[in-house]
This record gives sequence, structure tokens and C-alpha cells, in this order.
Amino acid sequence: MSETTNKRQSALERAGIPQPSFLKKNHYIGLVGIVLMYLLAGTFSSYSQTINMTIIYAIIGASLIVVFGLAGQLTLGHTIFVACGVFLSANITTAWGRGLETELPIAFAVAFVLGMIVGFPSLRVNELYLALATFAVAFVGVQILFEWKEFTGGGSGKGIGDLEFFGREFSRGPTLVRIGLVILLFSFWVVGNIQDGRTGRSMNALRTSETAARAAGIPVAWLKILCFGIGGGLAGWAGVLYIHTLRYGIPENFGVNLSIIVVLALIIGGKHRLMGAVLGAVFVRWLPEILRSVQEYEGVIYGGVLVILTLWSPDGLVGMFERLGGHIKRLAIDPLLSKNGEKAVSEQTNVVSPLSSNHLESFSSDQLRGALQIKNASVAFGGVKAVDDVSFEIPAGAVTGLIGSNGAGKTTLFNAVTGHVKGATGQFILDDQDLTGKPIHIRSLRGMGRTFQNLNLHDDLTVLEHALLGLDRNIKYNRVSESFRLPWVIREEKKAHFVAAEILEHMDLLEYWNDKVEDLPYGLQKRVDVVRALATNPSILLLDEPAAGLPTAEALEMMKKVKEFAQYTSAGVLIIEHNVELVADVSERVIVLDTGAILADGSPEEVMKDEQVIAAYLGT
Amino acid sequence: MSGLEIKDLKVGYKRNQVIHGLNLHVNHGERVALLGANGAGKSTVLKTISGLLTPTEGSITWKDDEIHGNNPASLVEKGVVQVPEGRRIFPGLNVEENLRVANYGKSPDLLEVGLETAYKKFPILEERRKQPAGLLSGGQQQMLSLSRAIVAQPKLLLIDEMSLGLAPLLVKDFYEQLEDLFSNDVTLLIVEQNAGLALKYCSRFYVLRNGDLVLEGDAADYKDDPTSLQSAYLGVDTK
Repeated sequence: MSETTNKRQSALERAGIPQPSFLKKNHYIGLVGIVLMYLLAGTFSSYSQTINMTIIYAIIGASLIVVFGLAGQLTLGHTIFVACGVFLSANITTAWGRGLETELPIAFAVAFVLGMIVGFPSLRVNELYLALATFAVAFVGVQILFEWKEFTGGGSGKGIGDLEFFGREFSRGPTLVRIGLVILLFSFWVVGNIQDGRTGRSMNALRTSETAARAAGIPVAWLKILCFGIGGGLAGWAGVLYIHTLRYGIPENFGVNLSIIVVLALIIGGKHRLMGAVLGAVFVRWLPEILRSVQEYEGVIYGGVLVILTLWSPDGLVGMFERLGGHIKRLAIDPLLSKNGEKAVSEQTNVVSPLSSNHLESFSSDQLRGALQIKNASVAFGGVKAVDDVSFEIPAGAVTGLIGSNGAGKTTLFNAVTGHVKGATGQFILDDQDLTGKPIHIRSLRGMGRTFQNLNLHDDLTVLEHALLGLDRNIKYNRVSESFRLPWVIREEKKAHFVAAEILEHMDLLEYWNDKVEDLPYGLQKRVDVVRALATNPSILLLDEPAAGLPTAEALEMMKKVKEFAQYTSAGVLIIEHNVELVADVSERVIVLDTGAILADGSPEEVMKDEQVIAAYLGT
Repeated sequence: MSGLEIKDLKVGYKRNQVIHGLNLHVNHGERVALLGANGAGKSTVLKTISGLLTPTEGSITWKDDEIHGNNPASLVEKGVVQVPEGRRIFPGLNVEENLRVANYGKSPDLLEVGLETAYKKFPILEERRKQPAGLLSGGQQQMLSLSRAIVAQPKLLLIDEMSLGLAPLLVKDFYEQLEDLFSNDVTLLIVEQNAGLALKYCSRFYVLRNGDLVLEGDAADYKDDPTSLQSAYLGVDTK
């Protein structure tokens, strides 16, 4: 190789992975739409109220995207946050005589806190029970508002004061539409940024496998609560707009009925896209206007659309349009472009192993480096001791094999180390820090990485996103900067994409970066699992049958790469594997477990010759 | 009597064709291995035979009966049983319930015989028969998967990744006793990563690469040197 070729193309460029940027194509479309409406607001002044209600529903939809679409938490009590905004606004404008500059921050803050409180049950109960719990919240919430007469006016409701902003008074009508559009733009901007950032990625992962998300170091509980908070806060804003539009708020309007309608609107529109919130809002607000002549069939039409959509397009109208667009593009547009559409295959020259360049070093973290000591680990299920007083040390920078017959307690020992099993006793010390009893994600953040025997991958996510998920801990921006996509958010995202691509390339997965894992063959899925663990840059990597179902040659190749990676980062590896040839090849030392206890411990040669091991495990 | 016959089979997922015209046959009572690297299409072939996937072209006949496009349930009735890859058991049912379900719709007498055979083969399952299957270790779940096949009394048995996650001792043992476990007229098509073992216990083999058949032959010719299959797997000449 000549010395001049040091300007190396990154894996990112070779694979054609788009770089994270400030604005995306959808942003321009959204922006143009909102600006157009802003300019035309005066022209359609006779429709101002319906337009405003549509905007309000779209904002509620966006807030629900965070809770329902992203966090996957079905809530039927969402309008309680809207009510929160409504009555705060009513009181602030009448009793205090203040305007939007006070209403908006207070409504957001109060609804945010309320949202976090309502979100708490989500940590303990599953989807169905959460729906019931939030249903109860809506029910009780309305009762409280009804009784709290000085705040809400009780059954007769409360009116709004003037529409003011820092003492300047505005007339309602088109001006209110414009204000609504600004709030809509802001809410969409925040929700869109959260979706595109690390929070969105983590939440998408958490929906499909909470266990694996925790193992990747994602603070699952905190994120769920945070989503409820953000969803609540944005719904609070919708409430402020609501009362300014209708000039009056009555507690009973914010009960279960409205909560169900807004959830339905989002399902109809599509719960994973902001455009879904818009389409859902348009659907529920404009359909009744259009169908006024056949009003008695309104319910039938709603129901019909809902049934049809859930059957044929679970991702709502947005999903339907996207598929339609895809077909049109494939049938009509692609053939036209096909002449120059052929992608140039990038040259594989100048490829330096990613590990020789210092990309990973830029990702230094506060993870611990050093050996893991397992001291007197025991796990009992009922009366059976699955792991019985096991002690050994996994040294840094070396591969240790763990073999043993089925049911010997190998995976249970892993689970005890990473915190995936309850009731484990003993001590787990990583580089002199005692991690015993720490939650899963904390152990992961301190440097324990693992893979799973039965593939705990995230079905919705692409290969690249799995790598990014592992890298999450090293992405240094907080949730507030994320919401506004500040410059360093993009910088950090670019860095993460860059490193993710390098790791994928190292593990020979780069060409599949944009594939959803569910579409990949089993062997590649196993590799994705390893990549996710490697990306956390673990100090101790626990691999649970990483080569099961792979032919030996392929398995050896994969383990060679893992070993290179581990040596570069001086990580210690503990590998459970039944492919004895593979274990002997990669391990410096092999530990044999039998009925929960260590049967043999030594170099691969010693262990494979051990008569007890042959009798209990290998066979002759 | 004829066994399984696959002609010009084409099948895939969505718009992505995986198998591009496969011809394969397994005689009645024969044991045949289906080999190949990852993503070669082996599991796809098994899933198509058992009715989980529908071919876009070609035919599959079992005992002169065209079975492609049949639903999996009716195929099980005809004796076509698949042991799926990756331990697909019912984690919420206990071990014995898992086995009983495998015999769904068949005679109770045969069930008892099947249970006895399975428990004799894997005593740990009998020990834990009242425990939820989800609590079994990974390898024990694979034992349960295989036991379900024993209980199902198959005529044509398709095993995907037979040795996955099993200790070497057990794998060897299981292959050696295939004859005792399944009556002699069971026809077997086995996907196996351990080519050495598969060649030892099967009479013939097929190697798939990227959805195409690249090699077929008698196991005896390759038994002593399974690594020579490597070039067929990977499509490159190895020394």
C-alpha cells in the first residue's frame, strides 16, 4: 500500500449510509405546509374554529405519539392533561390577568409533572392493565375537576379571559390560527427530534424487547416516565389552545370519551409518524363536517374505517399512503430513472481495519476496565440449585470458555452476573467495584455486555440501529438538546453513525445496515446480537452460544473478529458454546460446569482430556 | 413406495426469492441431510414442505400426493411434521402438556407410547414434567422440541438444526438412536450444521448455496473428509 492512500473512505461512505443532518426531506414538506396555512389563515377566516380544532387534535396526536407510538404505552386518560391546560389557562387569564407568556410554560410544566405521575403504573403493569389504569385516571380526574368548583367552575365550566401575549391583546379568528400553527410547529419539531434521536431509538428498542434494551444499558424506567411527561406537557398546550378557541371549558368534556377519540384518531392516522397525527386530526374533525347530510351514519363510517384500517393497514392512513407511494415509485418512477440509477460499487481498496484507527478511542467512557471476579455465586429455583457456589475470575483481554451439559447452569450463571435473574447470591466485582445487586442497565453501563441464547433482537429496528443502540451510552447529549436538535446533537449522532458503521464493517454486516433484523437469516441475526453487545464497548463480554446454528468455519471466522475486537479494547470474554472445536480454538482457558458446580478448569487441552469431562459432557 | 419429491421449487419472502428452482427427493424410509452455509435457504425449504410457506412455482409431492399449498395443520395429519429451528416450545405450558399437544388429534394409545419413548430418551424431561417449559434450560428446550416430534408420530420428519444447543454427548447419542426413536418407515430430512455428524448418520446429502443446489451425493463418499464439502458451501476452492 502506498503512503499516499491514508485518506481512507469511511465505512459510512462506502455503504452509502446517509449522515444525520439538521433538516430532513419531511421537515421541508411540513414547514412548507405550515407556512402556507399561516399565510392563508386570513382567507379562510370563516373556518377558523374548525381549523383550530384540527390543529389542537394534531398537537394532541403528536403528544400521544410520544406516549403511545414511541413508548408503546396505550393510555386512555390522555385528555386529563388537555383539561389541565384548559383550566390553568382559564384561571391565569381571568384571575391573574396574564397572557400566553404565562399560560404556556405553566400549562406545560404542570401537565408534564402530572404526566410523569400518571406514567408511574406503566413501570409495573403491562399494556392492557395500563389502559385500564389510565381509563380510571380519566374517570376520576373528571370527577375531581367537577368537584373543584373554584378552579374549574364545576358543572357550569369556566370562561377564558383575553388573548394576550406580553400585554399585547389579539383578536381571535385568523390570529389564533396563526398562534396555533406556531405551537403546532414547535410541538412537531420537538416530537420529531425525539423520534430521530437516541430517545426514539431506545424507545423503539424497548417496545420489542425490554430485556435486551436493559442489557444494552438503556434506562428503561426513566425513559418511560419521561415520555409520559413530554406527552402530558404537549397535551397541556393543546388545552391552552382549546379554551382560547372555544372560549369556554366544561370538566365533563374531558372525560373518557374524548380520550378514546384522540387515541382512535392517532390509530387511524398512523401512530408512528407526525403526519399520522395530522391525518388523524383531519379525519375526526373534518369528516363530520363533510358528512353532515348523512349524520346518522357517522358512527358506522368511523367504525368501518377503523376496522378496515386495523385489518389492512395497522400503521394507519400514513402507512397506506406510504405503501401506495412505494408502489408508484417502483412501477412508474424507477423504470424512468433506471438508466443512470445503477449504484457504483465502491472500491474496496485502502480499507484499513477499523480497529487499527482510533475511532473507538474517541468513544472513551466511564466504563470500568479490568477483570470480573465471580465470588460464591449461587442461584436456586425452588429447591433446585441451578448454580451452586461458583467462584472464578474472568481476566481482561482473554477468552474464557464455559462448557457443560444441558441444564448445567451456564446461562443461569450469566443471568446472575448481568442481573437478569432474581435471587442470585454471591458477589460480582468488576475492576474492584462491587456490582452485586445493581440493576441490569447499571451493570451494563459499568461494562458488562452480553448476548442472548434465543436472540433478543428488536424486530422493528435495522442492523445499523442495533449498533447505535449499543453505542447509546457514548452519545453525549441530553434529552433537552435532543428535543431542539442543537448542533452538538447532530455532531454526536454523526460520530455514533460513523463508529456504528465501522463496527458493522468489522463484523461483516455493513452491507445489511438498512435491513430489518427480522428479514435476515438466523446466522446474521446472531451476528447482530454480537454487534449490539460489542458496540457497548464492554469490559466483560458474555456470549451465550453465539455460534449455535452456524457452520464451524463461519463460527470460527466470527469469533476471530470478536477476539480481535476484545483484544483491541482489552475486554475479557466468557463464551458458552457447545461447539467444542470452536471453544478449544478461541479460549485460553476452559471452565466446565456440571449440575451447577465447576467440574474442571484449565487449558483447553487439559480439559478435553479430563476423564470426568469426557464422561459427563463430551462422550467418547 | 415413493417418498418426498420436490420439483422446480421456487419460493421466497415478499419480493425476495430465496429458492430458485430446487429439485430434491427423499425416498421412503431414507435419511437425507440438507447442508449449506447460513442464509443458503435450508430453513426456507423445510418451511415450504411443512406448509408454513407457499411456493411461487414448482411442486412438492409426498407419497404421490401434491402437498404444496396445503395448510400446516392438514399436513401434520398426513404425517408431515417439522421440528422448527430455535426451540419453538410453548413456554407457558408445562413439559408434559407440550408433549401432549404435539399428539393433538391422534390416538391416545400412541400418545402413551410416545411419551414413554421420549421420557426414556430424555429422563430430565420426565423429572421436570410438571414444570413450565419456559423454565427449562436452552438445551432442555431443544430436547423437548425433539420429543414433541417423537410424540407426533411422524411419517415425514423435518428437523431444522437438530443439534442446536445440545451437548456433544447428547447429539451423538440422539443420532445413534434415531432408529429406536422413530419407527423404521419414518422418512427424515435433516438440516444440520455439523456436517460430519450428518454425513455419518444419513445416507445422502444435498448442499445449498444462495438458494441453488450445488452438490448432492452419497454420504459415504464424504464421510471421512467432511471438510471437502467446504468448497461447495462457500463457493470457493479450498486446499
